[in-house]
Amino acid sequence: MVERRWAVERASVMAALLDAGVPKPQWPESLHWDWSSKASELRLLMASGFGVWCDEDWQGVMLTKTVGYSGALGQDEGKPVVYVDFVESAPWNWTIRAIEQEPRFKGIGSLLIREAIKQSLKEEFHGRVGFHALPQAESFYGKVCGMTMVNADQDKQGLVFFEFTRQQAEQFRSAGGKR
Amino acid sequence: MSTMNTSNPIDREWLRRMADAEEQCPSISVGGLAVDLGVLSPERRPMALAAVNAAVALAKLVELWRRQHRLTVEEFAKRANLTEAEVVGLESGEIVPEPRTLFQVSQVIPVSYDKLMHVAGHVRQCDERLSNGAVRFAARSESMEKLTLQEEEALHDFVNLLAQ
Repeated sequence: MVERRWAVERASVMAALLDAGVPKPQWPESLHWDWSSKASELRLLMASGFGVWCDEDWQGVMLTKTVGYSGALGQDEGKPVVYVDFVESAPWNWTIRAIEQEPRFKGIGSLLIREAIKQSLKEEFHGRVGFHALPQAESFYGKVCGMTMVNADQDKQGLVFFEFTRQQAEQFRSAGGKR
Repeated sequence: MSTMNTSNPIDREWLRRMADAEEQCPSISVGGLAVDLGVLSPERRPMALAAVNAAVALAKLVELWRRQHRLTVEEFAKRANLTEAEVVGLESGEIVPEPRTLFQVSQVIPVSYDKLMHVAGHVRQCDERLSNGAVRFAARSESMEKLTLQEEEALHDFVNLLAQ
C-alpha cells in the first residue's frame, strides 16, 4: 500500500527531473528503489515497523531490528544497538531544489529516528542506535543529529555506519543533536 | 505498523527545530535493507529506471484500458485467459508481471508484447524512450471510477508508444 502510493509519486518526481534535464547523479539516491519486486522478501524480514500517518497518507516509514548489530563506541562497544534497516520519507516530503519541490511535511526523519531511540530505551539498550546512511543523508545524521560516523562498511557497499551513543541519543532527544 | 503522537508541546518545539534543520539536508534515507535486497545501486540494475515504475505503469495500463472499455475484472480476465486473481494482482501494482501474463495482456490490449517486456524489465537491452514513457505514464494517472481527460490522454499516449 505504501509503495503503490509512493511509486506514483516517485514517477512524478522522475518525470519532473527528466523534464528539467537534471543530471542523474543529482537525483535523490533512493528514487530508483524498487520495493515492489521485493515485497515478498520484505514480508519475511523480522523487523519492527514504524510510520508517520497524516492527511490519509504515510508520510514516512522505518524498519528496525533489535538483534544482529552491536555498538562500536566507548563504554558500550560490543553491546547491542537498535539497528535501523530502513528509513524513508514520502517522495512529496523531499526537498528537491532542482525542480523547486518543497516538502509537504518537514521533520519526518527526525521523528522516526527519535522513535528508534525510544525503542532502544525500551529494550534497555540505553538509546544506542546504529544504521547505514545513504551518502546524501550523511550530513543530516553527522552534522545535525550529532551521530558518530563509525566507518565505511564494505559489507554494505561502502555505506557509512552511524551510531548514537547513549549520551548522543539523550542529547538528540532533548535538544535535537548538535546545537 | 506503529504510529506516534506528537501532540506534546515540548515535542512540537523540538520538532520545529528539527524540521528546519532537516530541510537543509538533501536526504534522510537509510539504506542497510536496500543493500541486503540488492536495490541500492542503480548501476547494478541496468533497467532500474523502468523497473521502478514498471509495476505501477503496467498496473495502470491494464486498469485504465479495462475501465475505458467498461470491462469488469472478470470480463477482462476471461478475454485475456487469466484468472481474476492474476488481474487483481496485476492491477495492484505491487509486482512486476511475469512474461506469460504480459503475453496474455498483449492479446487483449493492442500493444507490442516485446515492448511490454521492455517496460517490465524482462529484456535487459535498455530502451530509454520506453523507460521515460513509463515514468511519465505512471506519474499522470489517478485511480478514479471514470477516466479523466488527463487519464484518457495519458493512456492514449502510452498505448501508442507501446504499439509503435
